[in-house]
Amino acid sequence: MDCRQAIELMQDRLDGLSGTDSTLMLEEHLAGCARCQSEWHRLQMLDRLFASAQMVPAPPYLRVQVMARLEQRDRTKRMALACAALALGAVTLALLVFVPAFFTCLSTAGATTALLSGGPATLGQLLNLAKTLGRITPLVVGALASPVAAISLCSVLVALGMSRLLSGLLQLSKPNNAA
Amino acid sequence: MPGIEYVGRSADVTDESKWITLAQNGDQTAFSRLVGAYQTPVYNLAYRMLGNKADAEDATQETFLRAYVHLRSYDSQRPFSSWLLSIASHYCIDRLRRRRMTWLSLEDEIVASDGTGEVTEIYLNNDVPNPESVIAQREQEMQIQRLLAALSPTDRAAMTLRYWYDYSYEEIAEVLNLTVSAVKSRLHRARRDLAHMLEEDM
Ligand SMILES: [Zn+2]
Repeated sequence: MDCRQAIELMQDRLDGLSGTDSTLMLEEHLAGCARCQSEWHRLQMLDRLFASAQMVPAPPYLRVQVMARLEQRDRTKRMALACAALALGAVTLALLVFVPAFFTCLSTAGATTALLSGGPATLGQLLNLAKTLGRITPLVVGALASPVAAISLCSVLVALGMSRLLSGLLQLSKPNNAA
Repeated sequence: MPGIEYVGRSADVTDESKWITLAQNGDQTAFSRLVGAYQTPVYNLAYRMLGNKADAEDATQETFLRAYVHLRSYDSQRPFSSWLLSIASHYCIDRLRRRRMTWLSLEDEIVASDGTGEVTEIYLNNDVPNPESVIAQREQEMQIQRLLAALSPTDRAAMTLRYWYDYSYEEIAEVLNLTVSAVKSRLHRARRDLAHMLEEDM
């Protein structure tokens, strides 16, 4: 057995993995090799030092701190959910306002019948449609300008708030490498 | 070998799996019990790896927060302790790598490795009557932390899991996502290097 193998056996022995045979082989080698003797001495010293060490107990307040951080995280999560609900509400509201307003404008201008009548079959109908469109455009713009502005502003604010909350949340719940 | 009996002491296995199931369904009281049962093993690992109390506390908190978030991905076939220690070691390895990149925390490392004041308190609770043995234990403790600080982050984790948790090569490999032969060669090399350092230190 050479010194490399002897060192391997020393390591096994420290880990409690060596049988009687290999223990005897190691003893035999050690008896005739001063270099391995000092290596074995060093390794045993290190092993004894580490084996004597105790666990450092966690400070007693640690559990409370962990639970407080968990609760804070849950609060943030609830707030983010509330904001998401708010954003969804804003979108629904926008649809509820936009769609009827659009159709009201169309019918006010008498365009619905023109549009539903089967398309511009004649030149007269085409001219009629162009005139109608010309009439309804300012009406539609006038009716929708303020709700569009208000809702965009709300959505921007809600989106800003949500992105801040979500980034806070993501920092709390970064995926771990272990999983 | 110290450490392995902590699970048995705080709760039997049926209780533990009950708490885990409850916690997976969002029961914070059940999770709090798990924190209570495992805070010392997690904290000790973080302390051994990071070398100071403040970082160890922070890492322990972070480990439990991550565990809570990913609790549903925990596979009950695996011991809960090694799942937790896996989260903790990966967090500490990352943290040590980041620390190495910022020159400022180099000072932390030096403070941590000379161990001033840090390790004193460990022995205040254990009533050791003989002041000489207190000093000897403190000296040993400082020596251990100095030696661990000389290792690479992954080797620190491997040595800690081997000596404080009595983990086998296979268990360490699973916790650290390494092959068994990689764990073996890392541990063997770390032990030989540290043995030489210890001899020079004496
Ligand atoms: Zn030899």
